[in-house]
Amino acid sequence: MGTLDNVCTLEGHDEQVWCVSWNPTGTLLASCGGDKNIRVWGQEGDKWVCKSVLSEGHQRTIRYVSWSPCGNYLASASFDATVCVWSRKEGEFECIATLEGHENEVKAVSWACTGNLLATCSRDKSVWIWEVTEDEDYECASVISSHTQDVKYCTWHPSKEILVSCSYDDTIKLYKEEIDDWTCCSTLESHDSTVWKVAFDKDGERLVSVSDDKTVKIWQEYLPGNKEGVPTKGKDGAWKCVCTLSGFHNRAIFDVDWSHLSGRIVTGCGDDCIRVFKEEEGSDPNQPSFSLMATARQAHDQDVNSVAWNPKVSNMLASCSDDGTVKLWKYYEQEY
Amino acid sequence: MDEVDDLFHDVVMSEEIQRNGYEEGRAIGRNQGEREGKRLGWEKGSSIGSEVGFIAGYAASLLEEMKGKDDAKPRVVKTLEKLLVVTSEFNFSDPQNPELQTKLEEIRTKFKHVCSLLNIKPEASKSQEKGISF
Repeated sequence: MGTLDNVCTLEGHDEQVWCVSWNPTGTLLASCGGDKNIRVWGQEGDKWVCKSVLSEGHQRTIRYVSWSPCGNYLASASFDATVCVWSRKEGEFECIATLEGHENEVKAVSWACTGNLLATCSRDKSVWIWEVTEDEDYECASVISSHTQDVKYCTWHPSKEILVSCSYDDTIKLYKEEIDDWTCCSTLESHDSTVWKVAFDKDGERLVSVSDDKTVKIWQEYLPGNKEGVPTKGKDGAWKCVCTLSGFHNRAIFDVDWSHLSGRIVTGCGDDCIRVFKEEEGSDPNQPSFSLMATARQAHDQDVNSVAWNPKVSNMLASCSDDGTVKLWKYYEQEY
Repeated sequence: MDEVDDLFHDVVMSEEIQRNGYEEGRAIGRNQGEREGKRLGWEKGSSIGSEVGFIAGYAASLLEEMKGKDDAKPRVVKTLEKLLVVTSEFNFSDPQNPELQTKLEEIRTKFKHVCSLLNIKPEASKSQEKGISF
């Protein structure tokens, strides 16, 4: 079994904190929330402190922050219908671009692995793809209206230019560029309610999704000609739900993160708990079993909105909540 | 005996009156419904028609203007061309086409894309029509 130890609690936000995001080197943690501020936290000696506060970028709640793969840019998505791109030079942040186009609340923003593409999604049901031009300008490459409801989240494949989004319409959709336009290449249906978040595993061959239906689902991609005989269409792989974890969560699950270092899955839930799952050793890849390794009960005083594994320190994770705090955790596993 | 006959006569008569009344009411209702439906269809249809027409005209004139310029961004030209294609494919004469709604959405989406590339706020020209819902 494992344990989750609260290493420290970072206070500073005045209202609920919506999202925590690590920079690629795992040295800085960005958080954002209802107070319209972004806070960047870093380590000074043994202590974690707030290094910068980015205010004045947005008029309303900031829902999501995301670091570029190079770590020099931070993008923020806000309910004011805009996305800001902040450039970090010598520790100072400056807003270098504001992306406008969504009709209302922007829910998430994500950088592709190359750093040349940016995806945003909104309550207006659309997903936008932006291309970074040579002179640091952001040009809209495509607008995709594939979901029938509010799009909650979007993220890129870890190594390919494939985008995934999830929505209030209970589905997950994958997109790729085909004959110079972006199109939806698969729709994953299995959840009974809003899909709040999805995350790829290290290789991008699996997806984990969490939902308002209180379940966690694991999806596996089967490429054309797969030996399991899963039918595929054209050149696209087929995604199949290979595992459903139900009964562990008592409320809607808002966030999930799949560690690319340890393979552990962490969830943040409306029942104020943080849970860590591990794939059982030797379990059939086509029917994997996952076991609950640790639960931090009352990890926060209110809903846990976001959880994120540190990309370099395999057992470290950050969380944030409606209670206005950001917490850092260390996860330990004992062998029996 | 006569009294019994009269009694049945009344029952038959009342059934007949009821049936006639029903038919009459039904005919009036149908007529009114048809008129109302026609008016609604005309209103929605003309609004969608003018929206698609506006977008098509907008795209065509912009495209024409860009052809003369050397500094026209290839992405803008490409997106305008695509917008023209989707508007020309829009089927105005088949209101029962099940694809109409998705095609309209596609046009609106492409239009948003063009507006974003040109830094234009689409609200100024957007029609309030949200499509047909029942």
